[in-house]
Amino acid sequence: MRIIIFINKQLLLLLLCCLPFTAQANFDTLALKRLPLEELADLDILVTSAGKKEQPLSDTPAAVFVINSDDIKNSGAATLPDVLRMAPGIQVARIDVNKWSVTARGFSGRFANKLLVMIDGRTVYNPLFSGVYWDTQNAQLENIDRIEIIRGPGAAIWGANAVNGVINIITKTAQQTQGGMISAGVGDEMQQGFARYGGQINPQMHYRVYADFNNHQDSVDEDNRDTADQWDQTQGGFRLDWQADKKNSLTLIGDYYDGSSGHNLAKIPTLVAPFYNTNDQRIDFYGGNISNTWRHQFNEENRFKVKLYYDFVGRESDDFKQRFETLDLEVNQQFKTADWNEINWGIGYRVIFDKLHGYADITLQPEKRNTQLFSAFIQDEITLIPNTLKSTIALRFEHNDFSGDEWQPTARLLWTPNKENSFWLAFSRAVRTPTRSVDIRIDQRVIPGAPPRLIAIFGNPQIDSEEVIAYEAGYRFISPNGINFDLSFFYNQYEKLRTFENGAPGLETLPTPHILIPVTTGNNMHGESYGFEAAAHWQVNKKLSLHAAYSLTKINLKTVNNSLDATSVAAEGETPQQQFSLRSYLKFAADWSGHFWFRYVDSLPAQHINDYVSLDAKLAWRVSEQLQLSVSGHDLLDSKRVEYNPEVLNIAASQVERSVFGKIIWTF
Amino acid sequence: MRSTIKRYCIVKLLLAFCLVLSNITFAKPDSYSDRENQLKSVYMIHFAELTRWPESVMAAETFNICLYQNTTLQPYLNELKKEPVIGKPLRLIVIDELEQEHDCHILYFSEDHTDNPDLINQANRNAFLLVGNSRLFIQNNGSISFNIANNKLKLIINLAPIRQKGMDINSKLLRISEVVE
Repeated sequence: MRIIIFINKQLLLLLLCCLPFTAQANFDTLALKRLPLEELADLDILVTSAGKKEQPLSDTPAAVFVINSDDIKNSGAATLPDVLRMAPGIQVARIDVNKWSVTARGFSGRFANKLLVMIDGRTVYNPLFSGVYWDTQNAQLENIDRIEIIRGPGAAIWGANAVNGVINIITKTAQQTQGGMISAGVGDEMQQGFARYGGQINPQMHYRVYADFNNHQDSVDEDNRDTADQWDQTQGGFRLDWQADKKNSLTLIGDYYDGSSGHNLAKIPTLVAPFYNTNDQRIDFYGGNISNTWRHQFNEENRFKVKLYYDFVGRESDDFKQRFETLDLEVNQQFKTADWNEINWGIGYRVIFDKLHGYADITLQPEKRNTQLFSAFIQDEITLIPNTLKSTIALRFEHNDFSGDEWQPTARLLWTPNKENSFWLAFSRAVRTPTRSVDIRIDQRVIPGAPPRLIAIFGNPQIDSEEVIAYEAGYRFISPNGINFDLSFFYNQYEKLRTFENGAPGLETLPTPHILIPVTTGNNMHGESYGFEAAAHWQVNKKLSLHAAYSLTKINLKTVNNSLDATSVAAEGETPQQQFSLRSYLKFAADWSGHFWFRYVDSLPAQHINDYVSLDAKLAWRVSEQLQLSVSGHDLLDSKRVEYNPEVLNIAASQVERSVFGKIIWTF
Repeated sequence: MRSTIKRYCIVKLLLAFCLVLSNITFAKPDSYSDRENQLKSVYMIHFAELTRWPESVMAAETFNICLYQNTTLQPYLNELKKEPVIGKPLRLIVIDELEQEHDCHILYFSEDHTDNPDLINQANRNAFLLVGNSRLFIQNNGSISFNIANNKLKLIINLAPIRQKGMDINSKLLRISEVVE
């Protein structure tokens, strides 16, 4: 009932007025015919891998949004999280220069853990807390072909932690990046340099190599003092694509990065007055990966893939050092048993070797651990009425070292009364499995006294997976001449959400006698979230395109089992209920183009953060086929603002500042 | 108060955006299909324009595109009939049986029929340029195949059967295609 109630009068009007154009579009095929062949060959046909296979967007029974390379190039966005702000239903908030909260359909936070993020199928979440350190995932925007954002559970296909969404970043093939590119950018808040070269070893084998450097200056605090959150990263890598023969292809990708980031006024609790040390912290990080994918095509309707990757990440600060090595093997096959039936199955094995050591407020026992994950999934896509009605059922089984066996099913129904309009329904169950943080202890703060009382958070090895049952419905309109509309409704029921439970105080004698107040993680909260997301794209003419996105997300949480946790329910008010984005791209002269991006983000009552309106703009001049100059301004309406406060670790908030950035791109 | 005003403005802006969209007059559609089929249809015309045809085709009164047991491209090709193809009116023919006598200059097979070698062999005797939808179609001696890769519609051109029939493909088309000799 609630889902009906929250669609107020204005929103209904919004829907009603948007719907008519869905039935009135005409298609300008003749205009397409006049495009140069090169441009025709470069047109996207809107495919997505939501079902772990390439399929048209219109054929996808899920809430999918695709950000393509043109969207990224035109926007002037300088970081990956900023690019993700384009998508409806994705909440992005910058905590300081190098930290973000990025979530889908709520439950925001720097350590948000219900979103699966992948780059070319390689999971990039940190195994300690199953969230993402965005300062190390500064994917080279010039190399990205598209970002597919699937809102809602994708766990049956993609695996645990795809609870509220999946972000799949797909880089360009080596064939797409032939030739050279050098770009350099300078702004009042950041500097960037990027170089890439792609070549051909033989007609079937292409490669590229690249190097990238980023430096982001300190931000300021509310009193305009410089903070200590400067961030720099250097990264290099390669990609090799080999079409060995008509049936076999191989992709080899490797990257290495190194950098450092910081944060402001970290408070490390101590047992002597003033009971905490305050200092600006630096974190050195590094990481690399190599992945190999072999694709074999038995025939057009039977494809087989084996993917193997190795990934290592490390972070070191004054109080904590972590290193993870991941080895992941995945086998996947997709074949038709009949015209009406397609099977997609896969098995996977992942092993993670870690080494974690705390020097002060963070400790882990044991400090070294190897964890394993076994998985298997099967998806059956059944055509009930050809070209009209299709059902998809999928089931994933996983066994992990923390919560044991997990079953994650989904059932989806797609109705396409005609090629432009499609309606879909989905039911899914997904889990957020416990992570290595079950072994952690974080000393939070000390309450002065004799003896002093130390509050410390303890992981809980007995903790269960968090669960969601999701009900979704959607409507999509895709026309070939550039009018697209997408609407998705969701209602999620959560069980066993993580809470923090106070334990019985006890005496701890080391290093000096004090009272320890343990706070242990539990599963004593349930709740619901509901809302809808709408996105529209209109290619008005060859010169002007408009993109609009709106999302409404509401969350209700309640503790159970006599839990005394009063903080976890605050997640209700840590996600903006409403977000709106309007982007326009205009080619106003032969070689000049402009991009304007207006956003509204609702307030965060639990964090006492006001709603805000933001405007980004970019002006680009293509001097010649090889040379392009651009200048972009970010957050032009506010000189500074706080978007999100840090949580769990005691660090100070930084302001997001207005900035300008100039860039030169030379291709050869 | 500031927040309420902002929220009011946002909703009004949304409404204005949608009202602009909803009030734009579009012509009534006469066809429905997706981007992929639309692109394929446009390519079919480029195939016609960028092929060197034998005299018999050049002498024909119409340029004939046949669609084998499938009509997915028909709405788009109907739109493209508004303009002549190699100087002739475009004629569309949907055929159910290859045995029938048709004068097919281009014969299109949908995904359902591209992997049948007997069918393709027979078609090679009855039509000039065979267009299909798989690599297997090319291996079975089809002329041109559509192939989806990296979100784009790619072309594979098999020059041997084309040249056997005394035809050739313009280099403009070859440049954007994967060529099999």
